[in-house]
Parts: sequence; C-alpha cells; structure tokens
Amino acid sequence: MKFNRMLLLVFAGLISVLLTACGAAPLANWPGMTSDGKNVYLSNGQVVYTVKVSDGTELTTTATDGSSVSMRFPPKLDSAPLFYVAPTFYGAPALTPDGQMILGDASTLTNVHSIYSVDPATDSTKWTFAEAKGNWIAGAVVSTDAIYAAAGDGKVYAIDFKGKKLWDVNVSDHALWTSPVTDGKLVYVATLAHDVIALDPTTGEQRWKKTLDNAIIGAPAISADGMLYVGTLSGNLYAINAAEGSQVWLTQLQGGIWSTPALDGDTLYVGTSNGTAGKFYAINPADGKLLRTIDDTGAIVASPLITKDQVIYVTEEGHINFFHKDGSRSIPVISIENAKIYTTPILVGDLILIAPMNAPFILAAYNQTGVQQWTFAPK
Amino acid sequence: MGLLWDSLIVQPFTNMLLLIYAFVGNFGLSIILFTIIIRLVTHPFMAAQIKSSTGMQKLTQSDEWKAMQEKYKKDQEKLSQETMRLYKENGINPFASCLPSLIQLPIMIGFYQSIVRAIGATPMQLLSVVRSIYPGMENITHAASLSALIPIHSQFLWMDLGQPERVFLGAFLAALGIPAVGIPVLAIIVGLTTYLQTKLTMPASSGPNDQSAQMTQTMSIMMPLMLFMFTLNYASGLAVYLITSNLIGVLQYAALGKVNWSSLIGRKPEVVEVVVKPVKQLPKKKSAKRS
Repeated sequence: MKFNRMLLLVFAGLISVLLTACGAAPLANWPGMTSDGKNVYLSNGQVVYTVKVSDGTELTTTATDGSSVSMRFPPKLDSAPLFYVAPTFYGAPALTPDGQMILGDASTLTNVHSIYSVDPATDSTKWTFAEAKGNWIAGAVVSTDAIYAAAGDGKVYAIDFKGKKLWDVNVSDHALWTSPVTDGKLVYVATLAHDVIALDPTTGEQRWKKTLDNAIIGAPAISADGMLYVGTLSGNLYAINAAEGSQVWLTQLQGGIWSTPALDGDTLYVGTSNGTAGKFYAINPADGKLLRTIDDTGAIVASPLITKDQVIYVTEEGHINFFHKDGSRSIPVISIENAKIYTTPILVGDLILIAPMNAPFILAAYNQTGVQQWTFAPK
Repeated sequence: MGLLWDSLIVQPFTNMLLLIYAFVGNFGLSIILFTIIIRLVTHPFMAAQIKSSTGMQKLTQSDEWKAMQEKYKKDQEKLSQETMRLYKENGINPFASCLPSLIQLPIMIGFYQSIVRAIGATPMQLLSVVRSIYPGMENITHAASLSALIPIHSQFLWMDLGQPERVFLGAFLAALGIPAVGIPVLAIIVGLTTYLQTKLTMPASSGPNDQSAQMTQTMSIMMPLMLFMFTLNYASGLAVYLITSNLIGVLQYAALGKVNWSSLIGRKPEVVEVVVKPVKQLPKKKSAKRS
C-alpha cells in the first residue's frame, strides 16, 4: 500500500507539473510590427523576429562556431538564471532616429517591467528602463529627441535615447493600453478610463483632459490641421481640437471602435466590431458626416491601411479587403484560411505586410494587386 | 462543443460575475460572493454525496458485504447482482457519490474561465469580454452597461486578479544580495486551505485496513499539492475562488455535522462501529463455503 501511495504521489506531481507547464494562462494579444524599410520587426509574444522585406526570410548572423543563427530578440540564453522569466512583447517596436529598437515587456510574471533598447544589427541590449510598476502592452512612440511610452501602472514615461527618464506622469488608475501619439507640440494619450489627455512633451504637465463616453483602445489619429480623431468602445467617433481638447463633432457608428482611424486627405476611415461582424466607414473629417459604409461579416479590429491608390482593411475572419478610394472594390477579397487578423497592416515599399494569427505563417507580404509575394513562418 | 460550453457555462457565469461586480464595485468581492452562491446552489448535491459516501462506507465494512464478496468472488455477474441488491436494500445510490463531483468540476472550470474572461488583461481578452456581455445587462442596472463596466477594477487587496499573484520581497532580498523573487502567497494559502478542508472532511476510518481511508489520506496530500501548482501560474482570481470555496466547504460539512476535528489535531481518527441494517439472508449456493 505504501508503494501505491508513493506511486499516486509521483503521479500527482507529474500531473501538477503538466498542468502548470501546459496550461498556464497565457497573456494573449495580437502581434505588433514595424519596419525600417529594409527589415520588418514583429513582436509576437516571447520573440521579436527580424524578417527581410525583400524575400521574407529571417535575418541571420554567424555564430562563433560558424553556424547561422536567426536574429531574434531576446537572444537564446546559454543558461537561464534561476527564476528567469522570459519577456513578452506585443506592442509594435519603435525605431529611434539613431537606430535603436524600443520594446516594452508585457509579461506580468515578474515585478521588473522593462523597456529594452535593442541594437537591431546585433540583437544586443543597449539599455533597459525598469522604473514602471506595470507591464507594457502598447508600443512606444518616438519623437526627434524622446521616447514616450504608456505603462500598465497608469503612467506615461518620457525617456531619452540613452534610457534616462525625462519625466513621468500618472494619468490613470488603470493600465494604459494605447500608444501615446505626438504632433511635436503635445503628447496625447487615450485611456481605458474614457479619457484623452494632452501632456507637455518637455515636462509631462497636463495641458487638457477630455472625458469621452467609453473606454478607448485605439490611439487618436492626428491631422495636419490640428485635429484628433478617436473612437470609443460605444462606437462614438470624436473629433477633438488638439490644442484645447474641445469637441468639434461626434458621430455615432455601429459597433465598437478598437483602433486608430486612418486619415487620407478629405476622408477618414475607421472600422468597427459589432459582435463578430463589422462595418467599415468612410467619413468626412470636417463634419463627421458618413460618406460610405461597408457591411462586413468579420469584425474590424485593426486600423485601415492607406496606400497611394487604395484603402485596405483586414478582418477578424482572416480577410484582406482592397478598395479604390471611390469605394469600389479593387481586388476580390483575399482570405487566409482559418486565420484571424487583428494587427494593422503596414506598407513597406510596394508591399503590404499582414501579421495573421492562427495561420501556418505569422507574416505575409502582398503586392498592390493582392498577389502573395512571400510568407514567413519561424523554424 | 466549444460554442455550447461557452454559451451554457462561461458566458452566463461571466455575466453573473459582472452583474455582481456592477452592484458591489469590487471584483474580488464579486468572486467571493459568486463562489458562495455557487456553493449554496450545489449544496444539495454535496449533501447527497456525503450521505451516499457515508452509507457506502458503512456498507462496505459490514459483515454482510464481506461475506457476499467472498461468496461470489468467482462469479462476477452474480456479485454485481448481489451488490446492486445490497445497495437497493440500504437505500444507496452508487452514482450519488460521484455525480456531485461531476457537476462541480465543470462549474469550477467554467468559473475560472469566466474570471479570466471578465477581467480582460489585454485588448484581445477585452474583445472577448465585450462580446460576452448580454445586451440586457444595462437594463438591470446602469452600472452593468459596457461603459460603466470597462475598465474592470481588477485590484483586490494586494493582487491583480487577472494575473498570477506574487509578493515581491525586493528590498529585503536585495539587501541579502539575492535577486527579487516573487513569493506565491495565495497559492500557498490555496494549498493550506485545501489541506485543511481535506483533513477536516476526511471520513473516520473503520479500521486499520480501511482502503478508502488510506486513499483519502493520500488525497489529503495530493490535492493541496496539485492545486498549489495549479494556482502558481493562473490568474489570482482563481485562487480567491479556491480559498473561498475551501472555507465554505468546511462550513458546509460543519453544518451537516461531518467535520472531523480530531484529524486536524493529529489524533488518529476513531474507528467507527459499523452498523448495517439487517438484510435478507443471502441465497445459499452449494459450491460456496462460508469462511
């Protein structure tokens, strides 16, 4: 009987380890990506991949033993320290003018919530900034002389290019999930607690605060003529005077707005999620009047992409939609089987880059006529 | 199947949790209150389980049972017929002891999923929360509308209920030259309260060879260990649920007069005198010899 009890205990131990190892609640989110024109950097959980835009292959380097090693951040550890918690990245990497890649760790299994400055050429860490008391869901934004980042502790941090804190300011009792944006005059941050807040870029002092009707997930879009366009989960799209924070107009859309609207001259584009369906809107930015509406069977969570001749939006159903700017469809819908797309597509040269989830690949490039050029799946 | 599970278990649980949150304004309290409600709703099943287990234990220790086992040990068909007869005559439903567990397990899994969903620790998880909220919720109270619910205050005491819990002894350990290590306080409390509950609700042994008591003894070590490991990396909301559930479980056993306080203070459980109501004499079989 004693032997049986021992067996049971060993079995229980194994089950526990399995449950813990295989079933740990993942901090799931969609990937973020950015490009310097030559490479695309994809934050996809515990790895940031560097993929060549030219052919979709992963950038490699030569190891000391002569073998070819993929350029990934964080680099593989020869031996992890005791209690090592791997960082997690979801926000789009930010690139500084002097060539640093800025990444925020979204992991919550540690009390050290770092922003990493990485040299993309070597994948080595140049500096880390670990003063925040919360994780980093959103990507940072870079101006000519500072990095602005919104943290899970409700604070916005301004950091110089050497990792030194310039200022921090508490703007919310809740975690911040949207990237700050700046027009050079002010830094704007939207919060889950329904606020849009403008901060002085040199001191962090609050200039104005506008409370909207619901939580804000997408960062505001800034127009050249000093307007902010921002949507809430209620589907209300606001135009706000960027200098003063006063509301210029408000348009009620159907479904919730989860992303940043895209501005193209005299048209503002935004998608909504209404259950599992969605709507895509073209709006007059001057007065908020609807110009066109497209019903879609898939929810639209990502921001649209504007190219020279087309407007492209992606849906949760894994569809990529191409439209002429007059609203007519330019290319039949492209569908990635079983995929879900939440990440905003980016344009690099002539290529449209898509980062799907649940697909056999995590990155795909299409030309302007919708022909797939390459896909990337990590080995 | 996934959709059915979601719409029958996870979504109603999520909405119930959010509705309680809308009224009390504290997510930790909502989990505790919802746990109490669930324990109360499943109390009749639990009482039936305890009653059935006690009856079963008494029956399996009776001379009648042992004689029957010995007599028909080579005739499985007859053995099962006689077993069922004894169950029937003693008013025992053999499935009554496992059915409550079968009901409680999906509730626990569904409840955990609803906690994780309701908190929404990332935009992607929040998307799932928003889709789960019933349209009529805001008609019950404005505090249950989407705009009032989001963002959820997931802080409770020192923990973020949507994340695994750790207490960091940074300054203390740094002084000793050790890197900051998170102490999983809640997981430890889960382990302790599970041990407490298992010990207190352990049925009294009917003898030194009571296999069921030995199995329970093993479970009193296995379960706390498993749940400790389980809660290490899961949202701390689950740990709040488990701790509340364990404590309420002890109270429920106490209310039914089934708490075995002696096992907690290290005394060996007293041997129970087994009394089974007399049943009809077993039919004699020529080949069978009574021991």
